[in-house]
Amino acid sequence: MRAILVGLAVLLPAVAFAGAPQFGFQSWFGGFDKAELQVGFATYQANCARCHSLNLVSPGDLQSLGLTPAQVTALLAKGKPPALSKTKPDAGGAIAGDLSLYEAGHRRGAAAVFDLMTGYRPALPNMTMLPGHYYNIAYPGGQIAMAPALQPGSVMLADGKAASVPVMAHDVAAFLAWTADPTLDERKATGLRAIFFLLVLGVVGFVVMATRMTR
Amino acid sequence: MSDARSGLGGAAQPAPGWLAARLPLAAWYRAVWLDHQVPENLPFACSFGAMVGVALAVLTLSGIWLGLAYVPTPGGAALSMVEYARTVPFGWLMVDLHRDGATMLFIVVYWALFHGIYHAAYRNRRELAWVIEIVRFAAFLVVGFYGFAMTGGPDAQAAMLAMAAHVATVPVIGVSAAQDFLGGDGLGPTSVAHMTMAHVAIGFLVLLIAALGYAAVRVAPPQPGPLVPRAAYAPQLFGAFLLFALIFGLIITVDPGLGYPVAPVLPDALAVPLQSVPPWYLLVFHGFARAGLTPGGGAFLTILALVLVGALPWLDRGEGSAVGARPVYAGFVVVLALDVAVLAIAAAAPAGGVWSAVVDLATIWFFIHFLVVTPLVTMFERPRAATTMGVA
Ligand code: HEC
Repeated sequence: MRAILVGLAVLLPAVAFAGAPQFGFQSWFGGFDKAELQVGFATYQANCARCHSLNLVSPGDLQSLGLTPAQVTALLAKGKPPALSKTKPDAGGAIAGDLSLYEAGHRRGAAAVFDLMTGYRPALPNMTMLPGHYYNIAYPGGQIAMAPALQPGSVMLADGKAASVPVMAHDVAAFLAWTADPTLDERKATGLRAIFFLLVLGVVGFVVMATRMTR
Repeated sequence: MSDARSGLGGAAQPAPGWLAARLPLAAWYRAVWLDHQVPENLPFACSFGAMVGVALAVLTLSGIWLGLAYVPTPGGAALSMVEYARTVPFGWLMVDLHRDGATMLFIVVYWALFHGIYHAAYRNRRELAWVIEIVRFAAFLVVGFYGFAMTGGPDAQAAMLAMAAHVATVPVIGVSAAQDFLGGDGLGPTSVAHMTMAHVAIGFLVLLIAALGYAAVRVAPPQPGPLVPRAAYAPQLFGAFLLFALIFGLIITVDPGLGYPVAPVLPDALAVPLQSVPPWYLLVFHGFARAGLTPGGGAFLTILALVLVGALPWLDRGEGSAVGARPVYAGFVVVLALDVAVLAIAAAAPAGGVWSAVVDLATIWFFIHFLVVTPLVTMFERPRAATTMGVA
């Protein structure tokens, strides 16, 4: 009986998470990975910013991604960085929405964006595609008006190699999790400190009360 | 001047200080709280129930703070809070303290309600105190609903329209009341401002209702059995506070949205929710609204449910009130709690299919419990000898 329970406890999460992209910040106490966020930001600049705005992100916010003030000023000097453009161009009638809070509005958060980015497939022969639409297994209805956006070779990693599409998909998903919840790291750090403080307070309080009562 | 000291027969009473002679706050605190005689062996649950006060304090203070930044317009409601959380230092903390403070309040309140029903807290001249507690609970729900409406996303807008439809079914005054509620014939530029005003006004009214309820408990005769001053419960209250604060801290740290989106979805003409899901603490009543089929039916069931819980002192036909004295009735109360939990879960599920049937069945059992089970079981069950008191 016990063996069955232990087996289930191991198997169920293994099944539930098999194939799902891992995002450390989705765990209870995990935070963002700065290196991932920077690759994600570069991916966003190169592949998404053309169409999608990020209205809620200000240039100063980028410093918390690990960009130095000099890098941010350099971005600003090149004119308004496309990442921070407030306009929303539209692609063939369909609207490319603002992505700042996209993941905050989704139960699956970053995993939803990863699946969307990697969900493009060649349309099946028996399918009638709407004009200007692409087959994507992660999109409700299967037909999305956004062309596959991740261009291989558009982003260089720190080691000088080009980022693969799954890596870009993963890191842009992480980056959009940050734009949706930029205070996550601060919240978890503060929360953990508060919990630790309460535990210590509890121990001290009960020791004090116990000694007072026995006296 | 001299009679203040000699009046006590020369006992070594220190002279009251400047403030105490004019406004004896410390003495009131002593008389109203510390020295209040309560049963000797109260369960931990009673101390946990006192955390309602902590939750209300957190909500009131963080609410005032957020109110300074909140923009009560259809476009500003969600956006102002999102920007506040992102740009003001510890703005996120204020937002989370308020949002999750509501969750903490309802954890304590639902627990206290269950505990009160289980131990028949309305016995011993506490009927009116019980009724006030239910009025307070209803006011919490109303404030919670307004707060949800104030979040301004598509879900909130759908909820406002649904509530207006409920209000419109009230005979005679309904239609104009619904227009008053929304500030016009449908969602308009002033709708959110209406929600805000009501949220704040009733939010403060709740504090008054809570004080009245405590006053009513305070004048009730002491429970039978050995008594101690409440000050003796300091360790338990400390423990209850720790538990409360730890749950609160864990929720904020791990998942402030409790499985719902962390930030509101900005209102967008394209995003019309198929089914608006309210926060968990409103789900039971969301379930009644679904089981009621029409808006009028839902409103009727919700009001009837609250009235029935408030009428428990009279629906309960028996004598016993103590723990374990009425095992059969106690069993039914536990079943009621499970029924309410199932109803809430089912109400959050998409409409249609099995879950709709579960909503209906759980609703029916809720009313059977109060209208049939409670009077009959309490009438026929012979209470065993009372042993301990479960409520203050
Ligand atoms: C050529 C313009 C264009 C580019 C480049 C682009 N998108 Fe889109 N995107 C769109 C359009 C148009 C839609 C709306 C699709 C629809 O409604 O069918 C969309 C929709 C989306 C959605 C919402 C899907 C939903 O659930 O409704 C997400 C998320 C998204 N894009 C992410 C990205 C990311 C991440 C990138 C960069 C890797 C990107 N997009 C690049 C045009 C673009």
